[in-house]
Formats: sequence, structure tokens, C-alpha cells
Amino acid sequence: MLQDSGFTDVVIGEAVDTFGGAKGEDNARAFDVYGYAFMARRPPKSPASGDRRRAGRWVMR
Amino acid sequence: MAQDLPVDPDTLRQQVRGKYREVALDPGASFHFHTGRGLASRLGYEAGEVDALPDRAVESFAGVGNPFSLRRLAPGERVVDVGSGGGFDSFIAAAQVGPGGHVVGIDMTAEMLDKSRQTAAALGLGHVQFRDGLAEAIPVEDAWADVVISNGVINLCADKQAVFAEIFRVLRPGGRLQFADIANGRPVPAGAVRDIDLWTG
Repeated sequence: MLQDSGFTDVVIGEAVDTFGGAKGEDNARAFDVYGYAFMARRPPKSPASGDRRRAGRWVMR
Repeated sequence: MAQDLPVDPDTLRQQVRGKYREVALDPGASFHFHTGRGLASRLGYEAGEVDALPDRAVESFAGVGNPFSLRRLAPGERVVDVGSGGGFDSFIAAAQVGPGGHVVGIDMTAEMLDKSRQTAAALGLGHVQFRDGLAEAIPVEDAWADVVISNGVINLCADKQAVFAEIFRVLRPGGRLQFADIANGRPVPAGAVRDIDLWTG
């Protein structure tokens, strides 16, 4: 999905037991749910926007 | 319902707002996820950076990973925090980029925005601001950000492709997306994916 959006150089970190000991642990265990850190890059020479749907526009002061 | 989405985005947003309103107003309550300083420690945040923050900056933290674990932010960087909640990751980012940088947190839950804004004011952080907005319509101009961070938010959005497209738009060419989120190792049945109550509980 990241690459479909135009991102490159995708890195995924180690799994973290986010829900261990919490009330949601049983559901997390049932589907092997863990937390991960992700990193990806917008290519340096990418076009003005990879967004084909243009969800919002805003200009910072 | 938007085409091809498993749940209605507006209905899901209402459920997410309700859940995180509770986390903002009563962070000591029992949720299906961990919160606060214990969670930050579990996820590997640097103790010194967390210890430097007051309780109100940390108590409503409900992330699922550490977006700074793969790369520390650099001084002077401009950062957008998508789904900034009570502001914890924005305040960590603010410390890493320093006063020469800038952090813009985006959230859709009024109680979280109130909390994060009050904390930023109390800390005297002039380079941090919080704006009302959606992950699918980020209120930041094109190519403004050096880095976009997010933590446990994209999994709560029905249209993830729209979210990634918006993040791509606000990043400058060469900019980085650093986020944390959950992923499942076993497939979730289609019926469960369409059960909106399971998205937040």
C-alpha cells in the first residue's frame, strides 16, 4: 500500500508486543497482532503530488 | 458508504472520537490497550525524553509502537503528526527537532486538541501547534513537511490509501514518513473486518 502511494525505501522495524497484559491481549493473540515501526520516503524527484484523489487543500500562514 | 471500503468512514470516525474522548478525559480508566508512561516504556521510548514531560503530556498516550525507533528526528526539521491525540509524540518530536524546527499535530477529537494545546502552552513550546483535521484531509500545505509521523492512527482509518496519498502530498520530495501501527500475522475474517465495533474495541 505504501508503494502504491508512491513511497520508496520502505523499512519495517521489529515487532513489539503492544497489547501484552492489556484487556485486548486475547484478540491480539488470536490474530498475531503486534506493533511495528515503519519508515518510507517520498522520492526526491517525485511529482508535485502522488495523490490521485486530492482529499484536502490548505495553505499555512 | 464510500466505494470498496469495509466500513463507513464517518461512522468509524464517530466511534474513534468517542473512544479517544474517554482517553483524553479519563486516561486512568481501563481500555483494551495500554496508556501513559507504562506504554511508552513498553514501546521503547527513551526514558530521559519521556521523564522530561509532565504527566498531562503522557497520560493520554495510546500509541502502538515507536515512530522514532528507526530514525531520530534532526534539529530544524518540520514535522506533521497525524492523529496527535494528547500530543505525546508531538512533544517528543519537538524536543528532537529543537526550537529551530516546527511540529504541527493534527487530530479530529476536540478533547484531545484541547488537552494538547493547553499542554503546549504550559510548556511554552512556541514551535508546536495543533490543528483540527482528518488524516484524509490534512490541513497542511503541499510539500511542507520534512517528516510525517503517526502512531496507531492509520489502522483506525477506513480509507488507508487516501491517508497515504495525503501524507505523500504534505511531504517534501525526499521527505520521510515515520509511523507506527499494528499489523496482523493471521488473516482476519471478512465478517470481522466489516464489524465496525471491532475496529475500536
